Amino acid sequence: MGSAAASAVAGFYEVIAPAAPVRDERAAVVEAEAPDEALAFARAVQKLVALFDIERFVAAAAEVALEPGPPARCRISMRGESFDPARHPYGVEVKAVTRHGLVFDRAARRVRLVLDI
Amino acid sequence: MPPAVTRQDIEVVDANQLRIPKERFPGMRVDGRVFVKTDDLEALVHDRALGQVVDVAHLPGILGASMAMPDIHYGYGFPIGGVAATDREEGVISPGGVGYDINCGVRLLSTGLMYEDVKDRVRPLIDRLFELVPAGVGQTGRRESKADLTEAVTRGARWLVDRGVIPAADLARMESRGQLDAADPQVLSELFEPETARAFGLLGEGELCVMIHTGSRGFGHQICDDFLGVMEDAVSKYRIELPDRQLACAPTVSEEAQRYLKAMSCGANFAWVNRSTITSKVRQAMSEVFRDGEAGRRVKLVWDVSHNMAKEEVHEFDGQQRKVVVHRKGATRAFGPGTADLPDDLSAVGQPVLIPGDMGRCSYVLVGTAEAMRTTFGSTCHGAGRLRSRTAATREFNANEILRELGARGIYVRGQSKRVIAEEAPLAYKDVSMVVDVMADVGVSRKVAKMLPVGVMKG
Repeated sequence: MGSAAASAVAGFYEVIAPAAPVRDERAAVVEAEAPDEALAFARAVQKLVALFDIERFVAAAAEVALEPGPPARCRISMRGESFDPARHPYGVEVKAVTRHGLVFDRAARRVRLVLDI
Repeated sequence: MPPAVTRQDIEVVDANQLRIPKERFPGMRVDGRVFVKTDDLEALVHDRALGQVVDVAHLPGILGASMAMPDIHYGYGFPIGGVAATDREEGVISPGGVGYDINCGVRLLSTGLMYEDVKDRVRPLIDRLFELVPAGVGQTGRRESKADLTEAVTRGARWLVDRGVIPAADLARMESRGQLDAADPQVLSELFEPETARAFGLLGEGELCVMIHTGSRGFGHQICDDFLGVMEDAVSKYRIELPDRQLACAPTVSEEAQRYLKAMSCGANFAWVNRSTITSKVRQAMSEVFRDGEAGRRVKLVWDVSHNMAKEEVHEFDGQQRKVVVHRKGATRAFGPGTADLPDDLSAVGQPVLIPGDMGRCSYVLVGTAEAMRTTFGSTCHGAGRLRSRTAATREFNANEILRELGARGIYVRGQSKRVIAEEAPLAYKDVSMVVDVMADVGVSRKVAKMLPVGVMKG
């Protein structure tokens, strides 16, 4: 499930900076806790929105660690750099990670997040 | 995702209403009730927004029906155009029933000027507003201190009165007097109820008016986002079962819900300060463009409506006065004559309702009715409703072509970017006249005046 979640994180950054060659220059970690794994993951990705808004961080690679709990915990560890408009094409602004249609299916290894852009 | 609602799940009530019986989908506590032209349901049946009406009907304490206005379209959890009233003591409050843009709303300003007399000034007026009003993400303007921001979000528009930015008279023309605990010049083209229009403060056909449409921006967005998390924990704590996590909620009497109401009120106050500040810029621009200080002072606030809010109100239900929380997400309050919270000079008339259309067609002024109080918890539509998402609109429509076509019709448009122009293409929206006609036919809100755009500023 970690790899499915990591793919979702990659998809999140693809929305912000599509096809961007992101360098491995520094680390960043976000963590979140929630009543279940799906919400813990959604909250963690929501923190990526703030990380971009404040530090302009974009990830080259990400690993997602999950503890089912309760409370469930999610930790997203990343390597990346600061967004550089000269090298990174800007996609669209992500305003929020909604909970609408949230899917976190362990059996199918499928994750779906609906982003408010 | 919301359930698929098929033709078999729908009962046509009359030419303007359909019902989704609660027995059709397990978990529905009340029927779904959608106000829409029912002569052609094909497109509507394929719209997943109907499934969202079904989902909202699951909310604990929901009264009457899970409703949607004719500008219904797909949202997060609640459909846009959704109205849900929950019992104040037994029901819940859901931030998803308000939306991210808390107190997104519209206000109408009368200028006291006739368009034919001043039409050569519309373009410079738009240009000056474009300079005075920051539009879009990342724009900068005057920075306020943290203390001032606190004042603004707790006192709302009153804060601006104390600072001399707006006159006190403006407060009487806002819901809740502008405090809870994209200026578009329009021309009044057609009056359906001249007496009512005059009672609202409008001059008459041909008057130049200005419509402002904005909300609480990133501030309200953050509030909604933060409280979705609080409500998610509450759903677990109070063991509430929901078909969509975006409907996360808490009992209205709970500590979590009361905290949300206070935070939502801060967002609402921020939006009133926002619209009021833009109003002051309109007055400034009018004075400068017409080189006459009186031109600015003549600008009067006709009314200010919210179309994303949860309000604690008292309504008659099942023959009794009942305290309820009315969630309006992309829906407008439309109080009838004699209702509390209306200023004295409008009490006999009813509440003005402002319905913005797209930038190519028209907008409307309506009035709330007693029928609205009986049928929809005092609610009506809020606008045209999208036919295309913003993304789809940017793919389908060309900004330069839109500007050319509107310019040829005498409509001057300034946009922050070509993308914004394409997103707001007229054909990306339903025809607002059709939306307004449904509510008029049902008797929930009557048409008072129609307005035609002559200038548009989009941020």
